[in-house]
Amino acid sequence: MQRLPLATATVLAIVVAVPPIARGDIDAPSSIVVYPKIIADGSRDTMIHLSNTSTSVTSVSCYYVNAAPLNPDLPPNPITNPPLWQIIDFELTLTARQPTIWLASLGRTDDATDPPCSRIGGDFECYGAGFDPGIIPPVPAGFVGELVCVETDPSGNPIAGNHFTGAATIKDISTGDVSRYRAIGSQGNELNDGDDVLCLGGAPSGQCPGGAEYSGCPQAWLLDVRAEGSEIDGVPGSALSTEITVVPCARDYESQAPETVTFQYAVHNEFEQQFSASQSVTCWGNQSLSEDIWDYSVLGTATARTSIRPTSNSGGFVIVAEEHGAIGTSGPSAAAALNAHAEGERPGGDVIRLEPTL
Amino acid sequence: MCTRLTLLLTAGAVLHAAAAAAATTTDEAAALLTYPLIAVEPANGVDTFVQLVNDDIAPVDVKCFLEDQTLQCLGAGSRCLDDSDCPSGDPCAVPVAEVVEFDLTLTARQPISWQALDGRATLPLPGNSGSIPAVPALPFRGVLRCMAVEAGVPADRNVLRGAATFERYDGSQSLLDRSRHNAVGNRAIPGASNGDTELVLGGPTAEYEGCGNAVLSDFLFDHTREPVRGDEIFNTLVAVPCVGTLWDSVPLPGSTIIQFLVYNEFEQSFSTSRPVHGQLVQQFSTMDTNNPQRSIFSAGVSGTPGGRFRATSFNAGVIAFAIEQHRDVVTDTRASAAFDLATQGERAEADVLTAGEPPICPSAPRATCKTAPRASLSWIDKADDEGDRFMWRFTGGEATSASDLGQPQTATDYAICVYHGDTPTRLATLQVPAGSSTWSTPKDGLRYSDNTAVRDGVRTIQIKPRGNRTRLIARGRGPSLPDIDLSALTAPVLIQLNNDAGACWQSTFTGSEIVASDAREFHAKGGD
Repeated sequence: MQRLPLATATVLAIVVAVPPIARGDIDAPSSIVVYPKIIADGSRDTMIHLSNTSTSVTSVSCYYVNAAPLNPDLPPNPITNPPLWQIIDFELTLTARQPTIWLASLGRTDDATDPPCSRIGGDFECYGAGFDPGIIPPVPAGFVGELVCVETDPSGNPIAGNHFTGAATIKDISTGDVSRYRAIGSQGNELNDGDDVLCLGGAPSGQCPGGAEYSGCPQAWLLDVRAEGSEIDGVPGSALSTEITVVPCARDYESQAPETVTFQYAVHNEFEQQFSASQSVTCWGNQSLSEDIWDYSVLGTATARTSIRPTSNSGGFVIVAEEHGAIGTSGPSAAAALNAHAEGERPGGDVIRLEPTL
Repeated sequence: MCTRLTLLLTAGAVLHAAAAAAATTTDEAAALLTYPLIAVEPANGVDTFVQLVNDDIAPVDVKCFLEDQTLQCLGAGSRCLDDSDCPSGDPCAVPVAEVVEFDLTLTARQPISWQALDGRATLPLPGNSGSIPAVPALPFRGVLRCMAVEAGVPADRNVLRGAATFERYDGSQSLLDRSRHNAVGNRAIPGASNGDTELVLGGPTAEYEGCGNAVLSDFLFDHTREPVRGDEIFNTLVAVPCVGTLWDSVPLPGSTIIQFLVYNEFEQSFSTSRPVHGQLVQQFSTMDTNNPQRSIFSAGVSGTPGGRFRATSFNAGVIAFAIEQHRDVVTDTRASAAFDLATQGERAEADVLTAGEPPICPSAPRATCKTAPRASLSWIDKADDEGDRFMWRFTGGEATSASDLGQPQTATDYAICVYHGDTPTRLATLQVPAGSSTWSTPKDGLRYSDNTAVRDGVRTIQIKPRGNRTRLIARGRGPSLPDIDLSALTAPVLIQLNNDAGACWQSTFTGSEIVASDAREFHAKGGD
């Protein structure tokens, strides 16, 4: 796992009230769905759900970004072993109200002769059965990264249909343990001009003369984490830890330049004490919250409220988290994914640049 | 730096309008939180870790209700999780349906957590008041609802967030399983709360944003073998109604019916419905049949691995989440992942959740009251409020007993409640509290008298039981009388005198019984 160093870690006692402004509803079907954490690295694999909630045929353009290190046999390092940042895109067409699923490592073929579910005792082997929505490529070996799907018209032009929901289940191949999170949605609005520049929140600008076409990214993400190293009640020798996955809201699939975001953590324990730190992530970051400010011996309480807020000159981002519980180093372990809560909407917008439609 | 692999495939499509905004939320702070499942099952090594957080920079008072929805064996009466916990032939079917109420104060931006098995007897800071009780009995399955309050009444502060983590540990099998989901929030509408215990979720008089018009879930059909290890998939739905009475003295679980539309990857749809009384915790493929292999939630019926459902509800909205389980077919152990459902739209109808003792004038009129064959109602709203008048006569009504009247000199509160419309909407509440100086018991019945009429304008009430008949007269006047927009009255108009001993008297006036109605005067004469 990639560890990204924290810039600072201090104890503060000052709190600032910033009234949030309204934000689109990421609970609801959306026009952009983001799966921040897709793993197919040989130890874990990811089952991806994507559903069309409309009564009509609907299309999406999807983009994997592979953030696996250049040399999978060496530890990741921003200088000596940087991420690949490999983009893989594909387009799907879902029939009315169609759900579809695929395993990241297998993808899905477009094969009208797919066999139906076959019975194995009382169970059913079904993978690939159903109308194939298109060709979904398997991700390369060792894949870690994100998936983004954007609703489009049949010509590939983005539209604000708000018809898609999604989820991802990450499965441990050796233990069978699973964790699941919901894809994060951004709802489109009637101002969508159908071009390849998707404007998420914010006021009209040079890049977005018509203003926001999609709901913006949150002003802050709120995550209630278990203290690092704290024990699961009634499970002697157990320890909890949390990792968060951060991806910038802005993406440039046209020039393929990775975006960087910088953000601040504000951590509150049960004693009304505040701790803070800051960090940057380029393109995709998966970080264990193992710094002192989340450590049980420092926090002194079992849980901590963690606010993660972009700095004033940074773009927005989305996150998911996974809590891991383990008994010793060789005992059983179990992960639980969690969707963070969101607060307000960033006043500044973020832009996704798609490859121009042919 | 980046390399690109491109695959293209297109087909015809139709552009559609955006869907309506959603209501309940699992991603924002809210004033009312619902944790649809709190589970403590010692025999299965299950406990629930509950997190509750105040996002505000000011402290917040919180009132919580822990609903015990654990089932009991129908005959033996012992607590059970399924039929196997009961004597042979004795179904595990009857919910306990009790409520434990507790209060606490969270300080600025404070996170609090506890194990449901233990509760939390003390909170960490001097600014924290209250405590969190342990679950009342074992095994336990129930619902936790918490709301922001001020001075004990609901407050429109959207500052609460929460999560529940289900933890299962079996040392003998070296098994650890954890899954977590966010509590479901209803955001308060600023300034909309009337401060009573009835929380109105959605609808025309909403105090909180309503429950979703539909909940949506993407899932793998039950009995599918997932492609990673060949584990068998099961899913469990947890759903609770958005209505109910959370009063520790007389709890009344809410009920609704969920209608499922299930879609497979062949564009086929299936449907079924399932009642929910208090709480539903059920494997998907047992919701519509006793033979799970033949369920519409089973891969054997769907023919595809991936599915989605859209669940709408009748009678009342629902709040739900689901748990995806992967069963190792060799060891028969299960790994779980809880997940929040998406919501679509907001219900047009209001859902009423009564959080505490119900108000004497509920938002919907009481269902069973004494009526009279002859009745009249006059309400006069002068430009000068000193001239406002109200009088209600109820003659020859059904018999009234001494217990119906209660003890208004010491304990029993009364109220006059006015409703109008085909779907009765509460128009006015005139509180008539207990008191020895205002209430008396003359030989012929009960009398309330307050010449000042300062309390909601009520001056006199006389209730005279005579054998199997009852006569009632209520009068009010002056500036304290609520100003009703008489021009907006729609028939039928319904008036009730209610007390908190459970008795009520009622007259209903249909359109043809309304003698005069304009902006200044309302007169009706009829009966029953």
